[in-house]
Amino acid sequence: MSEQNNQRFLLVSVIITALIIGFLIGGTFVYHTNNELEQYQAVVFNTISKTATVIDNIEFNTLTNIEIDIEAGQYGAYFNENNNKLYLIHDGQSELLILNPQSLDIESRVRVGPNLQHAGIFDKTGEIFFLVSRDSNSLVMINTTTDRIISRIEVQEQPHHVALLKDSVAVTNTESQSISIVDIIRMDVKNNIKIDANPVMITSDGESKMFVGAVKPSKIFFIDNNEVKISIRLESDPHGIALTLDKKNLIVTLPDEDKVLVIDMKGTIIKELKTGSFPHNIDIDPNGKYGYISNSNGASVSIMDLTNFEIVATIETGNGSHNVQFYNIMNSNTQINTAKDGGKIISANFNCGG
Amino acid sequence: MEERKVNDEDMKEIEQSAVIIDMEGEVCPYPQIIAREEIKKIDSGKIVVIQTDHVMATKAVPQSVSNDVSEYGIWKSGSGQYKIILWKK
Amino acid sequence: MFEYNNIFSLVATLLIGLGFGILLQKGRFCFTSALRDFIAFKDTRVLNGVIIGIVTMMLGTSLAYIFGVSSSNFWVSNYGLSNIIGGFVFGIGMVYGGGCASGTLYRAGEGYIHYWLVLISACVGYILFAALFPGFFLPYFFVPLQIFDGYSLIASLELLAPVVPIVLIATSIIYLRSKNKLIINQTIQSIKISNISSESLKAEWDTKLVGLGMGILATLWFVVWGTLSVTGPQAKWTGLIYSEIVGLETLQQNVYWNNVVFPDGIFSISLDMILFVSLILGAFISAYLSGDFKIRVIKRSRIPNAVIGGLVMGFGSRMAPGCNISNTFSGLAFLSVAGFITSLGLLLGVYVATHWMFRKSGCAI
Repeated sequence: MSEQNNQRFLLVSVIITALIIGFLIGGTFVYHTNNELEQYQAVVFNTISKTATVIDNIEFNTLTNIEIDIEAGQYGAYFNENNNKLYLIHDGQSELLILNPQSLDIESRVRVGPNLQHAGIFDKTGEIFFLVSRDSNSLVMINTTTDRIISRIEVQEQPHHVALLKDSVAVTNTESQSISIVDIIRMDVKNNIKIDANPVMITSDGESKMFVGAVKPSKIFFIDNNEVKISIRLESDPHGIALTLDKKNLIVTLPDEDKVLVIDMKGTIIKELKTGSFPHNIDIDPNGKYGYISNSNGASVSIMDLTNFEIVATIETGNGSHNVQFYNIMNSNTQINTAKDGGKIISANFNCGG
Repeated sequence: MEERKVNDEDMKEIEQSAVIIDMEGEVCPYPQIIAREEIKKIDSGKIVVIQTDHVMATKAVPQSVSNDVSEYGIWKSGSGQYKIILWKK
Repeated sequence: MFEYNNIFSLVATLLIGLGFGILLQKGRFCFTSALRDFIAFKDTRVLNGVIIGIVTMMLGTSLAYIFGVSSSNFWVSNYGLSNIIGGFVFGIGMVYGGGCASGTLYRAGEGYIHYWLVLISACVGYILFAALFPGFFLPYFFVPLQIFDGYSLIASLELLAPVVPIVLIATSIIYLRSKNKLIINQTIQSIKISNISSESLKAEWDTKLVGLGMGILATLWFVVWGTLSVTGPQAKWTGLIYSEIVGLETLQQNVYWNNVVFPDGIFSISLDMILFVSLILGAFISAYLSGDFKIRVIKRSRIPNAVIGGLVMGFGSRMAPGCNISNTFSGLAFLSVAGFITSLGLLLGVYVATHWMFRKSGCAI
């Protein structure tokens, strides 16, 4: 090769290299401005068939069904991303079960209090888990690293559900027809908000707005800054309640009517959708794209697109589908795995093949 | 650059007048680097003997100096010692 | 502890490993030399062998693939900017350290203390990398940069896969013929039984033949196990030995050891680790029988080369991920995009490091 050819060769290779690097940089930039979606799997807990159905949240394929070795009954499952743990609360029991999230084996149990209600919630950092013990009328706070009880705070009668607010939590007291606002730093009840129905499930915007589903009579309450702002009469008892991630709409399930309602922030029911049989709970995925409605008597889950509020898929699950958690339960080579510290490993063939 | 066969007899003769460079213990890419640098300092027509125990040097060194060398030879001791003889142009 | 399907695959692994070791040693087959000597003096001796090896492996594995080998035996890594950076780092390390991943292995078998030091430093590099992985490399390097889905042309072509290598071989034969550069006569002469003597066996072997042999062995390995890799099993051995020192729990807590090096947290000796060991053994046997074996003590002034080169290679091979064998050899043979990009980074790293090391005497390219 002559000197000239040499230079030409070098020039061409530099250009090609620059193009490839440019493509990679460009791709990185484009990818990150457009595509912030994370990939999780939807794990549906089927309380009667005692299995968990794993569904991928892009194509909605059922990936697998895993058996859970506990008695049948209502239970709620809650995944803690920080410590890679799965909490299971068996309704009516007094223990909190801690499961391995991948194998669903029971690793340990913690005694909490009599007649636990199976709906719990993590605080914003995931370090505290809140649940209620009905017979002892208390809100229980659990340290999620040690699985030990931090404190028990007495609320009012037959507490049912918990929602997070700024520096406090709201607890629905079904029998007392009230909502207790509990200061979690001082660990005492700040005040109780009275309503004219029996509150059951509650959700919030994490700040000052609460949305309560109540029965006898069937109503939804919008509470802001501890005052009831809107109260909506419903045709039948609501159960599942969730606020969309953009905080603009409330989704409520009416199990007896096999329906789900979409309510705007003014309290107007803007849409009604048919679901499977007895839609019990609604869980929204972490990306805020889809709401998964567990149809407990229909052994299925209805998946609702939250951009246009349409049911886009109905997937068969086991019997008694109760609630859905979002995490990567499958540890295979082609999935994105959640690491113990909450980061994501792109382990798709990132394995030591190199 | 041509290869010339070298046996033990030739070695003794060559070593009497050649410039000896000891590169024992050097590994890639130093044999080639040092050979290239040193060969430029040698007068024309002289013989250079590089002592090395690096296996690859027997091929890499002649290649690295091919522009400055008319002939080269490789002598192996049979136990990991090599001498590379370079006839500078 | 041992993981293998049957005694057949274990024996095959040992033999393939020995074969690789022998071929590498006899051909002085080092990728660093292939690239560096080409850049520095336009010496294509080893580069020719590498190219022949890659194409042979491409042909062999594509044929094996259409005859039923599972597509999971391909290694098709996700890729992105991280590959170029990792390859670049590895390229620098391999020139400064004096050998690539495979070159280091066979020269360790030849008795070079220098290369034992490089190996150990690379293993230390792995341990350091694993420690830095959860806090730094995962969130700031891999998650933002390794974003494109892996793709291998050979794997995706399925039944049509052998077409690509056949076309490549045909076009190169035609091209070389036209330029009169097809020097197969000499090569054919050397494999004629009458020309093989104990002397010619002890001497260096033609790299083109060695490349061919490597491609064939790599195909066999593809059938038995999958992709050919050196730093992968090296990392696994490091992990196992490290776990003996600090305890298995320490490694199980670390996301890199537990999920990436040992996928699914199974810490055991796998076939590729056996290949790794038998490769070094094969190189040793070959060196000993050829009179090339000698315990070569490292020169004091070159200790930094070995240590730093090894550490840098250790990091680079984890960042890419992969080394020259898995990316340049297997990766190009599979026509995997990740392999191309990493090899490009590697080439850049070799180019920069070569120019720096040869700064006084200059390079050809």
